[in-house]
Parts: sequence; C-alpha cells; structure tokens
Amino acid sequence: MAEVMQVLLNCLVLSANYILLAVGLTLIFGILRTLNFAHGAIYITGAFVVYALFAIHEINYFLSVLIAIAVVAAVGLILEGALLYPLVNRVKLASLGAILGVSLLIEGILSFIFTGEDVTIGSFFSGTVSIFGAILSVERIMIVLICGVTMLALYIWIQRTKQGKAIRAVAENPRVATMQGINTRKMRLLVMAIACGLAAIAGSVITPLFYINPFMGGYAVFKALLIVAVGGMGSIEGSILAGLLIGFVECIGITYIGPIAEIVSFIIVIAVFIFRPRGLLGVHYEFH
Amino acid sequence: MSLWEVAGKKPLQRVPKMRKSFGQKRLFFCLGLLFVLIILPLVFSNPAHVGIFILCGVAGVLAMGWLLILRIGGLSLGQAAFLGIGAYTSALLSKNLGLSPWLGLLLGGVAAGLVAFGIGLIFLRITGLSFAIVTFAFAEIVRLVFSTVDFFGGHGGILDIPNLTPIRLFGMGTLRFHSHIPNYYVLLMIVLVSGLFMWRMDHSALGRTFRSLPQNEDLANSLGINPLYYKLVSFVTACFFSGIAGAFTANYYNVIYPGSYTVMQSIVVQIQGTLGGAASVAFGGILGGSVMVVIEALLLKVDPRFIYIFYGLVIIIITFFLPDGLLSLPREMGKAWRKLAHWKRKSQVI
Repeated sequence: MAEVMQVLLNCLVLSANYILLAVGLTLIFGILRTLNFAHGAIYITGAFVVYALFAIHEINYFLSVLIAIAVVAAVGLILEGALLYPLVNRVKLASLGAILGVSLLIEGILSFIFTGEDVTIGSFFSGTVSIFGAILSVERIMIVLICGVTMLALYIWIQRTKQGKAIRAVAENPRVATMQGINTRKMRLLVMAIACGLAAIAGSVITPLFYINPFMGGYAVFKALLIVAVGGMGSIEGSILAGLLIGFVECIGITYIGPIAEIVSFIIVIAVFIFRPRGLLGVHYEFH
Repeated sequence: MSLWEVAGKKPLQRVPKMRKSFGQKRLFFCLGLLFVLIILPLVFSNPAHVGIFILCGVAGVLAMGWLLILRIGGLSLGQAAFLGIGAYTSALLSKNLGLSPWLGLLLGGVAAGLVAFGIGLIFLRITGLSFAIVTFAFAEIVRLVFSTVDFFGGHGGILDIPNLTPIRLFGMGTLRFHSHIPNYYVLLMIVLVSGLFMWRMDHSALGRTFRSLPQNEDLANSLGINPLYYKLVSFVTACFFSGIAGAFTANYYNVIYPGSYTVMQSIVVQIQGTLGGAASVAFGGILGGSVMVVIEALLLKVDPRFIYIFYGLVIIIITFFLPDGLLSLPREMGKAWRKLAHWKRKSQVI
C-alpha cells in the first residue's frame, strides 16, 4: 500500500508536468491554429531562468518563479509578433518549419549561456509527511497542488469570465468572432502569453526534482504533442484526461516493467489515430 | 513551385511538364557533376574529408527519401528509424549468421521497405500533421526497442560489425574496404542508383500522380487513381533506399548504437530536405544534405554548440526568404537582379 501510494504520487507529478505543457499547446492550437514546437524550448527556458535566479543570484524561489513566468511570457509574445503572425496567411506547414527553427535556436542559445551540462538547484523543501503509512515528500505534493490550482484557475477563467468566453469564440470561428467586436489579434497575444506562462510553471516546478539540460525540451514537447493528439486538438479537458492517462501508464509501466514500457504510450497514440482520429474528447479540426 | 505548396492543399500555379528530351545542357551538367563526384576523393584525399563526403551521401539519400514522401503530402518525422532498421538488419545478419555484407546491404533495404509497407498500409490513410505525429511515434518505438531489447544489443549497440568483404578484380589484385576511399565509391553507387531511381520516378507519369494527391485526393480517386497504392509506392521506395544507406553505415563505421536514430536525426533530415527544396527530389535532397553536412563539419571544429543555433537560423531564413529551397536560389537572384536593373533604369530617366 505504501509503495503504491508513492508510485501514484510520482505518476501525478509526471502527469501534472505533461498536462501543463499539453494544455498550453492545445490552447495555442485552438486560437493560433498552429502547433507550437517551440513549447519545449520555452518550458526549458523557464527552468533555466529559475536556475539562474535561484542558484546563481540567490533570489527567493517563489519570486524567481514569478520572474521566470514573466520572462517566458515575453518570449512567447515576441515569437507571436515576429514569427507566427507574419506567417498567418501562408500554408500552415511553413509556420511549422519556422517554429521548429525557433525551438532549435533557443536550445542552442541556452546551451551557449549555461554550458550545456546537466544542472539542478537541489531540493529546497525537504520535509516528508506520512499518509496511511506511506512516506511522501512534501515537495512532490506541493508540485501536484500548484499544478492543480493553476489548472483550476485556468478552467474558471476560460469558462466563467467574459474574456474566456471571447477566447472560446475565437477558437470556434475567428472571422465571426471579429465581427462581434472581439480583437482577435489581442486574443492571440493573450493566449500565447498564458500558454507560455503555463510552460514556465511546468519548467520551474521540475527544477528542484530533476537535472535539467537545454536539450530535454525537444523531447518533452513531442510527448506533450502526443498527449494533445490523444486528447483531441484544441480540447482542454481532453488534454487533461490524456495527460493523466499517458502519465499514469508510463509511470506505472516504467516502475514495474522497465524502460521498454514507454512504448505503450506511443502505441496508445497510434491506436487513437487509427480508431478515433479526432482524439478522445476532440472536435474535428481540419489541419491545413 | 514552392515546397509548401506541394505539401499543402494550395493549388499549383504551374504544373511542371514532363521533359521529352533530356536537353544537351543538362546532360553536360550531369556528366560534369558525375566527373567531379568521381575525382573528389582523389583531390581531397585526407581521410577526414572523405569521411565528410560519405556523411554527405548518407544525408543526401535520406533527404531524397523525405522529399519523395513530401510529394504525396506526408511530412515524415521518422526517417531516422528506417536508417536504423537497415543498419540493424545488416549488422545482425552479417554478425550472427555470417552472411556476406554485400547481401546485407540489399537485405537492410528490403527489411526497411517491408516495415514501411506494413506500417504504410495503416499510416498512409492518415493525412496532414497527424501523419507527422504517427511517424514520429513509430520512430520512437523503433528506437526504444533497439535500446532496451537485449537481442539488439541494448544501449551499447552492436560492435565489431564486419567491413564489406574484399572484391577480387580479374588480374588486378583485390579491392579491400578497410579505408575510406573504396567505401566512398560504394556509397557513390548507392547515391547514384537511388538518385536516378527517384529522379525517374519524379519526372514521369508516376511523379505527376504523386503531385496530384496532396492537392485533391478525392478528385484523384474519382479519376481512377488509387491513392493508397501510389502513396505506398512513394513511401516504400523512400524507406527502401534509406535502409540501404543505413546498412552501408553499419558496415562502414563497424559500430552502431541506438543514440544515432533519435528524433533529432529525423528533424535534421527534414531541415536538409527543406534546405534543398522540393523542385527536384533527387537534386534537392543531395544538395540540401551536402550543404548542411559540410557546414556542420566546419562548425564542429569551431564549437559544437553553434550547430543548434545554425539549424535554427537555417530553417527560419529558408522559411521566410527562400521557401523553395536552395534550388530556387539562381531564379530568385535573377529576379532580384532584374528588379535592381529596372530600378536603375527608372532612376536614370528621372
């Protein structure tokens, strides 16, 4: 029982990380109608900003997380303004190539600044609590809580506020939304900033747990992409569901079977594409 | 015709016609290119340089395959997996069964082609970006199997793969494949055969059928074209030649390990194909692959960390300023030159 609890907590940490990335991707897909391959690089930028502020300049952890969110949101705004918007009338694959380039560029610059080696800021919150006889680290519980609260806030913002309604309208049909007086340009910028902020949160909460290096973002974004595809492009609930599914399958498989269990998540993706191409909870989007 | 128009659903402005005669100018150009390729390792006989030329050839075959798959509207992110399948097949056959590496070269391609046929039957029904995602997922499955199953050697890969066996030339001694230069000529043969094959495929009725699929698959279907069949032809051909190139690398480097078949490798193939341009499958692939590999080798001497920045800058610049790839550079430059001349004339009148 105790071991099961610990494994489940680890699964939740992994899923929370995936969900924060995948929800950002799916928001961007819904409004900007493009896949943000640079999300992984942006996520790792957040992690490195926290590392630079907390470990090198010794600023308070929570303050440095806030600064990281601001910096990364600014990167997202620059990306939208300089790259995605000018390419909006070109064929979608063109903007994909450019975003892929930005992702590689950011990784290269980060490896230049931070020497490209694995770094960590070390555990800063080292208590444990015991629940039902299982000894769980407070840090991991905190991470799950932070992610949960962020997702809840995002959900309330999208579903209950006027701005959220405007965003849902733009996702549904940009042209009609513009006719209703919604500033589509502003919504694009807003969504980009928020999605990048989510990626920054995901990046900064893992810095105390894992070693980070500039090149792990590329793999993370592909995992998030698979989750978005399983959950359904543009559906936030779908991404959360798929994130939990893939996070749990992967974590339980790796704990009890070994590294080959990672295959299962890829097989799930291929199966979803064959039997339910629009994803678990998705609406059908034509991508072209 | 832009690369993105080929892949996207935007209609083509100008459908390229099939050339009836090859044209003397082009024939001389190709013969000159062939001559340069043959004497290249004799001029730059430094083994390091020949090693780079060999890398160019492998990258060229992969990029050609990627462009051929782009013709049918598929953006493949899994080309490195087929390189790996070819390499592992050849290595296992020649090491465990003692088969001749020359046969392994062919069987590596056949294995990659068979796998491509199997997954193509399922994957090629999926269109657009989803195709990129499933090919990526497949490539990751292949890499994970290679790196975790003991039969494939695990993370360490396979060591001590035999070289290509010596050929006995009639009355002129034997040709051994321990040094770079003989291997270069083997690879040159592979590149020429695959390039010629894909060039011929692209510039025939088959190639025009390929081009019709991304534009309007339903319309093509209504005209009696079976989309899945033509997609399979393109996909299997591309993967077959990637497999042969992979088998060659196994025998040339004598060692393979799963770390060289990652997503990054597939993305590099995509960048190389994009850089070359889709105007011509064979020339675009070989041009993009060679240029990228040479610049990469130069950067590696300065600082390996420049490489990522270089990749990023290349693909951004290509997307914004040269969407048809390097092959369209002369045309674009001519356009710019005419514009400049026009502007000069105008300013003189005033």
